[in-house]
Amino acid sequence: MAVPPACDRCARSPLPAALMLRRLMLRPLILCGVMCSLMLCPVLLCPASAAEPGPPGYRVYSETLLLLDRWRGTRTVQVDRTDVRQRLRLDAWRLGQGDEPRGGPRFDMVLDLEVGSDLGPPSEVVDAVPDGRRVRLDLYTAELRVDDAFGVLDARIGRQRVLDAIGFAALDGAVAELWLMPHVTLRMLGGLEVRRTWSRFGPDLYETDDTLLRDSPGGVIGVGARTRDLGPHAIDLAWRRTLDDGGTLRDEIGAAAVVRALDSLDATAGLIVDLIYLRPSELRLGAAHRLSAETRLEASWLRLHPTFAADSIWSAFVTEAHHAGRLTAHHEAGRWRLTADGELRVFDGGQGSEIADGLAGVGGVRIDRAFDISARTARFGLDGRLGLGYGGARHHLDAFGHFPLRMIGPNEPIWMRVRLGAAYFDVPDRDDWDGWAGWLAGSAEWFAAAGVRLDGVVEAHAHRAEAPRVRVMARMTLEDRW
Amino acid sequence: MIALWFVVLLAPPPVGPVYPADSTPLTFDHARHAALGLSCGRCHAAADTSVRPGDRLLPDEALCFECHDPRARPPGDPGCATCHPGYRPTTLPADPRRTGLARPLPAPVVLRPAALTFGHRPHLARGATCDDCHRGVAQSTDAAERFLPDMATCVDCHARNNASIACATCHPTGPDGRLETRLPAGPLMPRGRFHPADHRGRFAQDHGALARADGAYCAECHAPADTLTRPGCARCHASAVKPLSLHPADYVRTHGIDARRATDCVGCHRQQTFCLDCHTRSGVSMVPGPTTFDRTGSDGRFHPPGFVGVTGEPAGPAHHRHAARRNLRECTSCHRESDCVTCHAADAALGLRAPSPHPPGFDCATLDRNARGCLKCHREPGALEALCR
Repeated sequence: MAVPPACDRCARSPLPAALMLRRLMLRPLILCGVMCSLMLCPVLLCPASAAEPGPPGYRVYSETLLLLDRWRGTRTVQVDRTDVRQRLRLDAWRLGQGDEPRGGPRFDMVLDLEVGSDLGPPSEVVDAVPDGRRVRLDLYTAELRVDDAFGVLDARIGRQRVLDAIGFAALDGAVAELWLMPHVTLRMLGGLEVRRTWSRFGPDLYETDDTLLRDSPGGVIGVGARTRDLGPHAIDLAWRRTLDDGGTLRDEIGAAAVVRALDSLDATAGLIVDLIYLRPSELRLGAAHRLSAETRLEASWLRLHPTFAADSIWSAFVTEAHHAGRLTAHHEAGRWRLTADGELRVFDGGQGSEIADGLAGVGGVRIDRAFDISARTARFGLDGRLGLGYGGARHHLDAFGHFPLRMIGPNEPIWMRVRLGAAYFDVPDRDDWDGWAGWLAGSAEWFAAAGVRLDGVVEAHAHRAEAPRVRVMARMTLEDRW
Repeated sequence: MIALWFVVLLAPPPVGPVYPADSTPLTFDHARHAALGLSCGRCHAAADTSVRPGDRLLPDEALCFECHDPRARPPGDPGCATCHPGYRPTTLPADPRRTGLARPLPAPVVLRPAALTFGHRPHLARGATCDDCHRGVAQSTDAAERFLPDMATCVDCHARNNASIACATCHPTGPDGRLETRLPAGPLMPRGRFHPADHRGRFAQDHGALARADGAYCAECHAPADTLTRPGCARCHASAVKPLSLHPADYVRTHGIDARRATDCVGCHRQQTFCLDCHTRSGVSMVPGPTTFDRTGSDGRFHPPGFVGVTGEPAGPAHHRHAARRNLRECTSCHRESDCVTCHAADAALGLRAPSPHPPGFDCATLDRNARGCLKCHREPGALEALCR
């Protein structure tokens, strides 16, 4: 097999600026452009169809978040954070429609972005962390949606999220869904990968598989199909391939289904297969049985064998799958609710080692009761959990409440959440952290006026080995739509 | 039949956010009136033209008086109390301005409209009968008893008659096309009867399997981003706010337990960035800084003794190979490839050369897809060719 010299194939090769720019921009952009064009053509040419009538609508959503973290742990361990995040979302629906309803496709736009900054004390360490930089911009969504073009096509163009049988993805590109058959929708997507997982995505170069400074974002192509209007049954099939300059990064197919096997029995299944290594990376099976309107039993089993991008060295390491089985029972009797669950994880790897008995178990019971307070339903209860086995032991008991505080006048009540708890930890090889800890956490949620919501959270923790830890969060949300 | 009767008898009345609680303090016997041959439309004529749930479909008192003439009351007739239980009219004038005293009126009928997109007229025009939806009302003797259709009745009928069973067919939507879930009588939540998306129990932890199979159903109510009144995916998955229902308090101290057990941290957290952010600040990392974690002292030790091992000697019970095989993701949340390459690269210095991390029988098939990963360890020109030939 002919393999080019390392300097030509490695991502960190010193490339001429022009070549670097071409690699950065050209191929993914061409790929993205072709996909977008293919999907846009029918949209732009589409005739009037039976789109949902209605006047245009707009929404402005603003969220201001303040996070304070003050933690002084054992010896040198400490965290000081003062994050301020400002989120802005703009929605526009039924663009181009006048007050008089008309036919034709429906055009919507969504812009969702966040600016964040850490106002904490300056530190070289903080600045060394990519995500810890002072000012950060995350563009979550910037998409144009077109629905009911031709009566058979929905399309989204721009930065957007995709949720299919493989899971979340975010891409700069286009997604088209064709309603060609009565109960089946075909999906095509193409564009540039924003990041592997969805959360906190944005213009960030740091990647889990250490591909920092990869010379181009991966291009993504994919197809899929899903069922629709089948009541309690649904199936999603997906294939996605991520490519970049060096070849294939990821190549996966996924299938997920939820089926009502009997009138009271729902079954779920999910499978993701890594086509590069030809092995299942994730297999999920689950069932939920409603014994009655008040009682439900659930069982699920997960086999997980994580894979990494194909250009990562970790994709060629020895790794073992692990299994997780869970049983859950939920019962409601009048004002009482009871949930009991247990989970057992079985690890294949690490045989013969001291760190591993190969098992980890977690189980818990949660019970609560509803009360009428100020004509609203409040709940108070207890939540206890035991955790043993690989990784360490953690047992805790929480008393919690969710209740309204009545305001004077016609205002909405303030909804309070309170948790008071204690826990016992036993973490292997960390004797100084073992022992008892306690906490008190409270939050308030208040719709202060139409379109105004205020939230606050205060947590205080105590542990024998450290000074009390305090965490504060405040959030103001403003929304207006017209 | 007996069992069915019990089910009907014990079934809770359909009160909730869709059908808010109402008050009908009347004495009325549907069965008796039906037995007299009166049709539903005789009293509820407005149903023929009704196009929204808020329309008033109860008859006016004047219509009742057509049969129950108050002026032609036979002896012993309870009068007003015939329909308004316990009500005794007084002689006070109705206008309180004359006496300062208001004449007591019968307890009012309070009906709150169902939070539905519904009209009687289109249903009647398609041949639906009253009994199709209000089953059993013709046998009812209690006016307060509600004979409103439950969702099963609607869905079954829609399915039989090729009408849409999409949620938005009956449930009101906002301008973005998603269902309005913050209703005056409480939040609208799936109960699991028509779709397994039951939000009770440990749904917050388990909803991923459903979302992958039927994300469109989730999207009927939830947008990816939050709104003022409704959580979207971002509420948790953007990892901006710690949900106390998912992470027990003091999770900062003990999250390592879950991380080791391969709990799905990556569902919400971008591991390397998120983990390193705090680990570096707190000194629990390999990045040198003012609070560099003490990797040798007993208090600051992160990995157990023997975790690194000694090159050339057999791996001990606490060697990192075991943890890496079980859950390599946990390792990669802090460590970068360069940390592994230092010892595992094919051309590592002889004193550092660790055993091959490849599984037994490893072949070079992936080289065809992407050789970049191979070249990070097999850096000698021609080395890969020699290995994979």
